[in-house]
Amino acid sequence: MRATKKIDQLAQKLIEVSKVDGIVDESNLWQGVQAFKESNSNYWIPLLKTLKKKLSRILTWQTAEVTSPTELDANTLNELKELFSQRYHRPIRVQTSIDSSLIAGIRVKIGDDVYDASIAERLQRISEANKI
Amino acid sequence: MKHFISAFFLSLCLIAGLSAGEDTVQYQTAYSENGNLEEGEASAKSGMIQEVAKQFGVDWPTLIAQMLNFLIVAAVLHQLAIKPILSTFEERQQKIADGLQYAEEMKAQSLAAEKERSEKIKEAVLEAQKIVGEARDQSKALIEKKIQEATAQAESLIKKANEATEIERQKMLAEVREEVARLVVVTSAKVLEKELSNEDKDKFSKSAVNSLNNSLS
Repeated sequence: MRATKKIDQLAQKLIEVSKVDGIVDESNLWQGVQAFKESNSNYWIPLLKTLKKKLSRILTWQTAEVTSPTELDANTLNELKELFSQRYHRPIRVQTSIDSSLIAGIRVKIGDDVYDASIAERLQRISEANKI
Repeated sequence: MKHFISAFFLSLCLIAGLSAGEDTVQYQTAYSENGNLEEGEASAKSGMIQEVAKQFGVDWPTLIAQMLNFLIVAAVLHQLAIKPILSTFEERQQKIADGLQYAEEMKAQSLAAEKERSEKIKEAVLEAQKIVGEARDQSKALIEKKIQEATAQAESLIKKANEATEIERQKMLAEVREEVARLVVVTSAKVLEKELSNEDKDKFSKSAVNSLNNSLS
């Protein structure tokens, strides 16, 4: 229990140290991990597992998955990036995907938050409103 | 006692009669022989009595002794037979009187009992009529109550049926409305998907970004 807590604290410290402008820098993080590996610690594998969980969570909340029926131009994507960076007070990366079922508009997913401004969602709301 | 006295007086009368007859015979005999009336009468009387007594065989001492015997026998009979018989008669008469009185009392009691019985019967008849009347009233009230309950139950059933029908109708209407809305949405989606060009879609996407920007900032 105590070792787990220590590993958790160490992983958190590695992530904080490797950040550049609020974003986790892969090379910095890798350097830190290599240094820990060279120290021949017994906690090498548990540390990697903890890091994987924490990075996955951090990446999820640092990535905006933007879905649209057509490809968006760079200006629109930058606008979205700035908008959500301000909203969450941290740098947000944008990752795009195409989904024609949206008909028109966009859907943005950051972590557990979903912002849907598509025609498909509006039609769905109309349909839901007419249900009992 | 009365009988004894009667028998005694009867004996005296008989003796007196015999004495008178003897005097008459003696008077007639004296009158015919002496011619003197007074003397004749007296002698005729005594002669007659003696004659008669002689003819009947009356002997005075015997007669007196018989009378005494008779009196003794009568007294003994009175004491030993007549008196118990009389007392028995009196007892019987008393018993008969008691029996008659008892019969009268019984008759009176019977009449009273009959009267009481008839009164009781009358009371019972009245009570029975009253009970029958009450039972009739109760049955009427019960029938009324049951009718009211049945009516209320029927109304409740009708109301429930109407409510169920209304609910079913509303449900059907809602289902129809939902189905129509679903069809409208599906049709709209297909139409929009077909009709919207890429430019329109881009424009809408930009507009969506602007609306997100406005709503979040």
